[in-house]
Amino acid sequence: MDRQTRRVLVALATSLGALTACSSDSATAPRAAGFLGGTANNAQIGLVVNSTGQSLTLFQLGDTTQRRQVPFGASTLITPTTLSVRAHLAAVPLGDAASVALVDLDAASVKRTFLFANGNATGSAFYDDTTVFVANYLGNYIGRVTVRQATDSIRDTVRVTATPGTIVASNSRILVLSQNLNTAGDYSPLGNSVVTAIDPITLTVLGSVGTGGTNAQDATMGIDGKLYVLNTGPCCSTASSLAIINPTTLQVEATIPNVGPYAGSIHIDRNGLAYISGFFFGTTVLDTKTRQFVRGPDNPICAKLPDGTCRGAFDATAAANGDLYQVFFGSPKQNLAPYIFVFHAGTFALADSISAGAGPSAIEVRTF
Amino acid sequence: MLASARAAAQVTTEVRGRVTVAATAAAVSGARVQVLNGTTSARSEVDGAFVLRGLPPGTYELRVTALGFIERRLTVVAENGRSVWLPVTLNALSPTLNALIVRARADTQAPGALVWDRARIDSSGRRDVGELLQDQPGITVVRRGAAGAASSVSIRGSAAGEVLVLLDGVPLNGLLTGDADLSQVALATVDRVTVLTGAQSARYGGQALAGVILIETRRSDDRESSARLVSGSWGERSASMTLNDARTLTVGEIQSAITGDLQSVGGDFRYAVPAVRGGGTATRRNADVRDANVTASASLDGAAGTLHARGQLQSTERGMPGSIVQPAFAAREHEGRQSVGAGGETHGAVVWSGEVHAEHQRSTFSDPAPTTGPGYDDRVDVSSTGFIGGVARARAGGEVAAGIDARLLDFTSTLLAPGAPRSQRLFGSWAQMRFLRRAFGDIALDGVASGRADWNSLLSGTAVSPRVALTASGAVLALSVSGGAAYNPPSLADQFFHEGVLARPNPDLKPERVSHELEARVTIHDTGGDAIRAGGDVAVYRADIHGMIIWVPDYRFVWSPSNFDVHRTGWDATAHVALPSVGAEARGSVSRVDVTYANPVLTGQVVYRPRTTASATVALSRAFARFELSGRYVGARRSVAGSSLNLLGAYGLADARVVAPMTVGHWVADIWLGVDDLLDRQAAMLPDYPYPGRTWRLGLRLGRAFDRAPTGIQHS
Repeated sequence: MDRQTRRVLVALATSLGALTACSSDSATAPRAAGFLGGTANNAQIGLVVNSTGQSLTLFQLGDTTQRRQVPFGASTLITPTTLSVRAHLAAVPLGDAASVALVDLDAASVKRTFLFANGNATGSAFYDDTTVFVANYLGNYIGRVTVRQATDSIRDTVRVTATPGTIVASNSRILVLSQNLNTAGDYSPLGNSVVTAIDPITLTVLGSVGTGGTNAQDATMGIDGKLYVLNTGPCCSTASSLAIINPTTLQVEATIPNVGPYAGSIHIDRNGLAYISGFFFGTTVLDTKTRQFVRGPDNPICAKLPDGTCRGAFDATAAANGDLYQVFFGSPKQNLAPYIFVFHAGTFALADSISAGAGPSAIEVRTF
Repeated sequence: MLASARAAAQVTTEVRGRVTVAATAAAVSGARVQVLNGTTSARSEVDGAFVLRGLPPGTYELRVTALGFIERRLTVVAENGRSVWLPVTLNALSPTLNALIVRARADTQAPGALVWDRARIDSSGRRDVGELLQDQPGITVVRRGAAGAASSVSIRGSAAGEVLVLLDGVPLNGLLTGDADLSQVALATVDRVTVLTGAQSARYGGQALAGVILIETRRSDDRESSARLVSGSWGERSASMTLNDARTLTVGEIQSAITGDLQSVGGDFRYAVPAVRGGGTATRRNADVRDANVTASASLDGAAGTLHARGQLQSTERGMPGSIVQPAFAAREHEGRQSVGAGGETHGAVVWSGEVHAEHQRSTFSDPAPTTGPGYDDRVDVSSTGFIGGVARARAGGEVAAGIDARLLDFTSTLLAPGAPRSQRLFGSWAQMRFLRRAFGDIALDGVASGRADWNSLLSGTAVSPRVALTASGAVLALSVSGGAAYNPPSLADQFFHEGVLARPNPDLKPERVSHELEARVTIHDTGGDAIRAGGDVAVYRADIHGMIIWVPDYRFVWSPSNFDVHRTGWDATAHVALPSVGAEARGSVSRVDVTYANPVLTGQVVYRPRTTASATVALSRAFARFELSGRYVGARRSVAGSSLNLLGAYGLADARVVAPMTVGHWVADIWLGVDDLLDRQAAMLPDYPYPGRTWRLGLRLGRAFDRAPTGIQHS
């Protein structure tokens, strides 16, 4: 099989996968059986990475008391912070354990674990139903695994700019966001963060682009096909910016300043609303179609403390009906328990709080 | 030829018994049972039981002394290879107590005190103090690998830094972390180990929050010279020698002893790799250890008092193999410690004592090529000088004592922040009053009230720690109740270490405090006859810790220490049964501790603390050998604060030991074979730090007692 044939087959598989993913969000799609099918009124499932809890929590949005927990192990080096989901699988990089857990969501158990030789596994992305890319934050490379490969080792790798933390799959390329920090010192920026485009088949570098800011901690694809990169900047009060990058031409097309101080996470829903979350303010909402704030940094969405200040947010994402599910990590020092706070669509009024285990750091909402 | 030699050999015997009050049959703990004109002695346990081991067959005169009782002398006939049962009753002393008796380690008589004397240490076949304590009730030893690997101790669910470890009265706890590494105290150099559980700051000051471990190195009054060779699994080899001497001069008797000990462990072993790192097996590398210890002591016992001097050199060089997930193949650690002390005490109704001591400790940690991150080469240098002084006066119904403890520490370390302090001054003063009364005819009352004030130049204010204890002892039962307070200052590392990317010190930490510890203990004295004897002990306690220092991550996953309140309740139970006539005995213990966060975020059991631990030992003594089979159980532990997921599974380990003692003339030989983890379970207390599995150790100890009887001045 030559390279071109493989690329076509992969593209075909990707298209089929995209169709499957789209159709699974459809109200008319057949539901998954069992827990993953959700409740009669709400088929959606929330998936929460419990970082210090070293586990993955699944809960039904229709009945938040119904949940499954997937433990990753007792080693102190298991430090997951993010996840990626495809079909009935989740990939959860295990941080300092330098490995990625492939979770069978039907069985709520770890199906396989793939290992880097060393380093730190951070971001991940499914390229298709069977191919996962994983970033090695300290190794300065990304690796590729297939869910049915014979070995547990991550052997197919490609070097990228320092401290790759986020991976996004886009059409026929993999986009790697490197924070570009000095890991041999105090993790200060070596320069602007960099997005590197990788050919998923050949693992060759197709090109790269600076994001126009430093310490970029998250990125996601918008409904306009652009890559939205969060230039977090230095800790902790500096206003972060949002770079909008064309993933094909690898050019920064626009930058939106001040999306919140030290913002660390971004999700964009099917309506083009970007939910940008940060530890110091909560969540801002930007309409990517108009590039106007729905809720700006001066009025973020947050669960307020009795003194009127905001709990911060590690992550936030929208359900199908627009309700916002926001992750609050908790603070033992302040006697503040971790929660998933739920805000009504449109008004973003606080509607509910869900206990979701120890140290939640990331959330996805999916229909299976 | 060998058979005839064996037939001609005499096999040592042992004398077992129990010391009780003649009038009440209550147990007398801490009584000294000494073979006159010999070298062997023992102290009675809390249930009054004592064992004199390694006696050649013959007739012996024993002297039994105890605080508040009239000395008694008895004769016992020890037959070849037999165990002799010897009950001892003592009559209470009325008006005058000898000063030397008063000062005789009164703390070891505390209810629940665990005591190992030289004979018990020898027969244990263990390598270091950590191994010695690993199956004791309420004590959890956390070892990070095979023999010689760093090991710390937890008592009743405490952190390692909440247990004060004193080596000849000087804290062994590391200056930076507050933890004591018990693997560095080779048992070959140790004469006696005493563990006191519970809040002990009223007598011992800071860090004695959950207990205190008193380690005394070999003393000049051992009156035996001996050599010891050990070989074992994972390349373990050790050799030690103790030389003793005693001479009578016109001014008194001068005694001296020197002990040298060399140990090495290859350390590499196969272990099961956890699934998160791919499963299968791998070899633990860079786990080698080389230890060298020299202790020397001398004393002059004259009519007016005793003068003593001691010194110790200790060096440990070992690899730091890291964890399973992040192994370190080139990381090395070196610990060097030099310690000297000199002092004296008077004889008489009022005993004055004092000792000046000085230590220097250097620790280096280096790894030129870690698996992740930059290389490092760190150093800690600590010099300390101090003075320990006290005065005690015995009265007809008790004693009063008081003392001071002052230390000056100078330190430098690359691990501390540039602005960190370079010195620390510590001063403590304590007072203790003890009374002994008889009430309601047969009930003996023993009450202790003590208090201590501590000042630390790095903390504000003075810490005051009171404690009271009352024991009522009858013929069969003893009931003890105690209450007290204790404190533990934050470690230098918690406050001032060099900040890292994902870790930050907290200079605002407050000392941990146990404000109201309450303990009740019921002891069933060793009762029965020659056919069967049994006893037991149950203690329940509540000892909440206010402001326990726990590391937690903040919103950026930066870990930092903070004060958190912790509830702590539990119980320890021990029981023993002996069949003296057949030389069989069984002992067991179970401990339960609930140590839980009092915090809405961090809930449930504190991580790495097993709720339940247990141990059991059965032993059979025969003329030619003693066989021992023991098991220890460690319950499940949480690994994540506030989550019951990812539990570390409970495990049980079985150990076996056989000791064959022999005596030929003045020569005493013990040959022992010990097998730890007999069933090769390969368990571990901590994730990522596996134990090596089945481990054997073969040892030979050869000793020669002094021919000459002690002719020095006898004060008791």
